[in-house]
Amino acid sequence: MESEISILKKSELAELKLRRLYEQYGYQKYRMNQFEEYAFYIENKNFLGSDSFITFNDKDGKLMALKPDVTLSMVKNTAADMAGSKKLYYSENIFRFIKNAGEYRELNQTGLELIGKVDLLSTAEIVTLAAKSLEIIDASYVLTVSHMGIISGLLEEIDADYTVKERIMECISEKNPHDLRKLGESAGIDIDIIERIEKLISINCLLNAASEALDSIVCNFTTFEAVKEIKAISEIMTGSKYADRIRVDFSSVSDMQYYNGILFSGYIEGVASAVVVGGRYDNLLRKMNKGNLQAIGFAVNFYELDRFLKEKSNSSGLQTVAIKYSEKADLKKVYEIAEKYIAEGKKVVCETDIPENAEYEKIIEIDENGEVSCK
Amino acid sequence: MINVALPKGRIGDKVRKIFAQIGYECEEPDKDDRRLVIENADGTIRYLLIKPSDVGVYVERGAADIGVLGKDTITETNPDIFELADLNIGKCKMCVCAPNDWEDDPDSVLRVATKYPNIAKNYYNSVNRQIEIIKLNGSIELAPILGLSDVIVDIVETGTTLKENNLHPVLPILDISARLIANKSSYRFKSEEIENITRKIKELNGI
Repeated sequence: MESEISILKKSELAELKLRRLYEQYGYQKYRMNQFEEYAFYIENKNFLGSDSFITFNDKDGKLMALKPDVTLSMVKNTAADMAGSKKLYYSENIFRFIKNAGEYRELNQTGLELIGKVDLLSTAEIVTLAAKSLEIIDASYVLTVSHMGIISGLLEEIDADYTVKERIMECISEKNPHDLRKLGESAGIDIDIIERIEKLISINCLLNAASEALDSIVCNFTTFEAVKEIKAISEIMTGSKYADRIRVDFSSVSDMQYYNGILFSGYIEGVASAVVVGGRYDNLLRKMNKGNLQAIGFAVNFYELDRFLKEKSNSSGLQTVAIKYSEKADLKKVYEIAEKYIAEGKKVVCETDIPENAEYEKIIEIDENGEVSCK
Repeated sequence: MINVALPKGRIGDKVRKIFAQIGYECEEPDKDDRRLVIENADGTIRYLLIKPSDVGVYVERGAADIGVLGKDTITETNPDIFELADLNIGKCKMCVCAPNDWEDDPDSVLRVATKYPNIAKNYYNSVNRQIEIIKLNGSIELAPILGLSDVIVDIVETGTTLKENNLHPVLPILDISARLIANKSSYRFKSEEIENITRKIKELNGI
């Protein structure tokens, strides 16, 4: 089994380890179709953060789209209820327009969703699973935690139209206090609220050291409840080895139409953007007429990770034996020698010509007289 | 070691002086120096000298941890980065400019020549005005003179070029200055150094 595992690429191995981790926590594998109706995705384009999908017509002329996301389909098709939560994980290929590439890409996404009843313990468990997922990928990681309740609570105190509120959310996600201050002045926003948002932007500390900074932001019931939830999660995770990798940082901001609670983003040192993204999204379930169901989940994006993991791994891990043979050599003998090494578990390449700078564990030369020599 | 993407030219020189003032001094390259990477003696900072419009790409993709970029390019290209501080240098305005004798006809589709199509589009969307964008790469002022466009959207620093071409600023739409930006992942792993640099720059600017 070990030799089989040794040929896996680092990203394939990471994916298997993630699946094992999620199974350990009671999550079941979810398998879905490669496509859904285009209208379904376009209705939820803000959740997806894009309205560019690969589309095609099915045989009845209905416009379909290759799936750009898994969560939406899971929520749509869920059989969960408040008494029977569903714990599901997936490892699927999705099709997305990648801004930096300027074209559509097929990419692997692995993740999980808890749909039904979400309480403090399950939230702490999901945060831990996000941290453990990062740890599987690389030892040098950081998970940042934010809370939409705090952000929406602060925005409740502002009497301005939605474009101003949207710009405030952008300033929070950009960690941009200077434009926030100018915006506050031009829109006539109470300076006390602007100062609280500036404090929010500046928070960047460990989860278990955030209490005082969080208290200084509370200004109404919504912010109070959100801060209480973060503190409770911190309390549950005290002593966990993952606690010192989790930082409170409110630059993770998502659409309030869908997200309502804790949000998180995971980073690996050497990868330019977040590789784990997730959070609490009860509002999406409201929007999809799923009653009072609650939901939380996250996805591990392998698009950026693939190159990072490739650079860290050494090819297949198998030792390679090269057999250089003359075209006039006894080919039966070449065949038998190759089979012998393959049976020993080696990787074998048979070539009539081998570049001088090629690196192999062993090079066996078979000349036209059948003479065998080793290097 | 912090990698800093600096725009080549006048703004880059000013930024290096600001970094020297906050303790990240490094040798001044002479006129014939063609190096694109300059490191300070104690190895705490490395400057990457980059074409201004590419700074955002280097920082967004993590080739540089932090950088300095104009608000015009940030708004136009919308890179996924943190914007940590306003350096208060390179100040100017993005304006709608028109010929001195121009009168707006709200009943017609406005032809707008610009190097900044996204900024122009977003501004006119916000005021619900139908426009036709004419994307140019330079000498924008020529477009309304030759009847290629009705107005231009461009950076106005002193207004001299406009004046000499019988144009005037009609409406400012964006305040521009150089901003300190950071890669979102680098910020997590080098947060102490990056926050230290941000704080010192703000102190220097009296913020």
